[in-house]
Amino acid sequence: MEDRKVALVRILTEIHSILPLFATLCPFGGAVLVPIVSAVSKRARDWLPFVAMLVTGILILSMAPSVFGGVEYTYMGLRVTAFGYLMGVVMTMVGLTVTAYTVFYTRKLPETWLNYYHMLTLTFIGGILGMFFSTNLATIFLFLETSTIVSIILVSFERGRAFEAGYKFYMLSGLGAMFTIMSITLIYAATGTLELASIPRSLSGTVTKPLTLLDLGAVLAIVGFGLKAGLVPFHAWLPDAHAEAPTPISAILSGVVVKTGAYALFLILFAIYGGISSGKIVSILYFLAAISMLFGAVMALAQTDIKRLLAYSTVSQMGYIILGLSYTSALGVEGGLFHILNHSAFKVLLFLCAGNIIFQTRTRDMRKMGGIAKKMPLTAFSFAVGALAMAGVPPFNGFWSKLLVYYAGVEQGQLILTIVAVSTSGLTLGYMVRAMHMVFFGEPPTGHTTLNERIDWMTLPPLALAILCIVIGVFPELGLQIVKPATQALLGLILRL
Amino acid sequence: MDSIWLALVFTGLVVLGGAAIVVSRLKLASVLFTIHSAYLGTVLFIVTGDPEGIYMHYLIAAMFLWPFLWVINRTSNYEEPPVLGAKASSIIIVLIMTVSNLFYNWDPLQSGYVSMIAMGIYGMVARRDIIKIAIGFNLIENGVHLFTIHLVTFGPQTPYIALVLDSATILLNLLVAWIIVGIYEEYKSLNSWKIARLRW
Repeated sequence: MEDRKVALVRILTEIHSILPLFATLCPFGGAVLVPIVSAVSKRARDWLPFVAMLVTGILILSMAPSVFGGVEYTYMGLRVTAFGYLMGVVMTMVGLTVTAYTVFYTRKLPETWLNYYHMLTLTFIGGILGMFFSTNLATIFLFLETSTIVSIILVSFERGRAFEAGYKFYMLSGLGAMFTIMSITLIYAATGTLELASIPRSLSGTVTKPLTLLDLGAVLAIVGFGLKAGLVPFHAWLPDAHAEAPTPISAILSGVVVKTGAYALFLILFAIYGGISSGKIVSILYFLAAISMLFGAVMALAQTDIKRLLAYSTVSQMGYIILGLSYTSALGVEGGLFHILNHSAFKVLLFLCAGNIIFQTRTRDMRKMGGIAKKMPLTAFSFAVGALAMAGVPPFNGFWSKLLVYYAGVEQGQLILTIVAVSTSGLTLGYMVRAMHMVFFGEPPTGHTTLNERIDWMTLPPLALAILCIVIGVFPELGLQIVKPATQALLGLILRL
Repeated sequence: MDSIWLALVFTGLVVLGGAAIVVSRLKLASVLFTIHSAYLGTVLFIVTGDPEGIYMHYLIAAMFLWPFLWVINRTSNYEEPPVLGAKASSIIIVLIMTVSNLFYNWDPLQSGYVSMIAMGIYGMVARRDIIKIAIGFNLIENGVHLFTIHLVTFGPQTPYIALVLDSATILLNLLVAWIIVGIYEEYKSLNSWKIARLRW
């Protein structure tokens, strides 16, 4: 009897350690199942991505007690760190809402495309999750490229002009990949390891650090991953890709994919340098963050295409994340990570609302919209919550993460950067209020008399995210608890604990 | 003697890559690039003794030629007018090779990959035809591969890095072939300057 118990515990422990592998494989498994399920039932096929994400979410959430207890999962080359886990949670949140939304959204796509669409979406999500659960540089690159290649197909999915966006995305992400692989090569040449956790140890063992190689590697990583993160001046792919991709894919691109760049970049920088609060590297990061915040906001002000406006706002908001993490102080890291979580929630919500509006009005041009609030009150409410959260207005979630970044700036003596960050929030409020005014208020143009809104899977996911933005805004400690293990892990890496 | 032989091998490699950028017939350019890629695989095998280089680069060569010939058959065999003509491009390519050799003191490997990356960038900037731009992109990838091998020849995980890079290149080539055909159907041109309906 006792032996059986011991064997059972051993089996359960074994299964528990395989969780990251299962969580990563689940979306890929879903992708394989799509054509099989499609042969049986088209309706079941449309729900399959959501079910796959639900199972993935359960697997990821079941790792929470161990991750929050400081345990790192390691299995078959995959390793779940607290930072990777936070990103996995973000991917789960985004994946669940987007796949639920996709069920109705894909009705506008031709039936013959749908199998490919669902397969590619699940492979895309699987690639991103695999990247978050890896700490080996080559494996990170492998999963990053998998998700990038699939995302290029998805960006070009609606054909026509979307091919142009796909081509630009291919060129720039391809160049980014070259910079990334050169950076990885230099880091490997300098440290003799591709395992991120081993880099600090390998550097502390050497008497003379090969700093030139590492510095060059860090700069190339900033360019390569900065391209992925959509930082100015490497952002050229982002507005086109976000605007031309199907709306659920735009939501994933903005909600998660741009953060993969920030994730990999800071893992590398912290592993090489620990605290980077001085020197040329941090100056480069401050410059990129400040220019991204301002340029993204100014460009968003000039847009009349609702998806391009949201795309430029992503460029701007990535600046806050980079700025917070670059401070490398407890407040800065916490603010940066909290903004990753918050930005994913409100940006996905905004893209899904934009998708609803475009679905009804058949246009992305805000000048051809107006007075939609009366016809689509749920979408209008969700959009307003997302807009105010993004502008950092209390009591929404974006307010708290931005406040932490401001505090961190003051604490570091970076007053100019803090002024830029606060001013950008003002600009954000300006362009989002302008967008709300153009879309939801005033007189509706002719032809919009048939607009209607029902409570269905296209209105519920953004509404759920809007409620999340309010809940985290009112109870910020909930969100801070989620980012706490990742903050501690990154601070441990920075302080070389 | 060995150094002369190595210099000849790498010069041949770079010249083939440069020729793929300069010639205006797209099928010929694709064949030249394919030979360049297969040649690189052979050179990598000789230099490192690692079979990954030869297998993957032969695969890259095959997976480049097949989709690009498919694209050219569906679009056009004639390159869109480049920014700089064949003579000027040839002079620039010879200059790139000379300067990189002088900079690296005639080291064939280092000057080889620097030349390939520089020529690839030149191809991407100075050619307007998107097939030629894709060839330039692939030339950069080959240069980066050589750079990887040069810098971490004896690292146990070097083949892993190269394998990941090569796999990504193969998939990207298949993908860009599909995109180029889609662009041609939409824009009726392969001129990158005319493919600009979306604002940057």
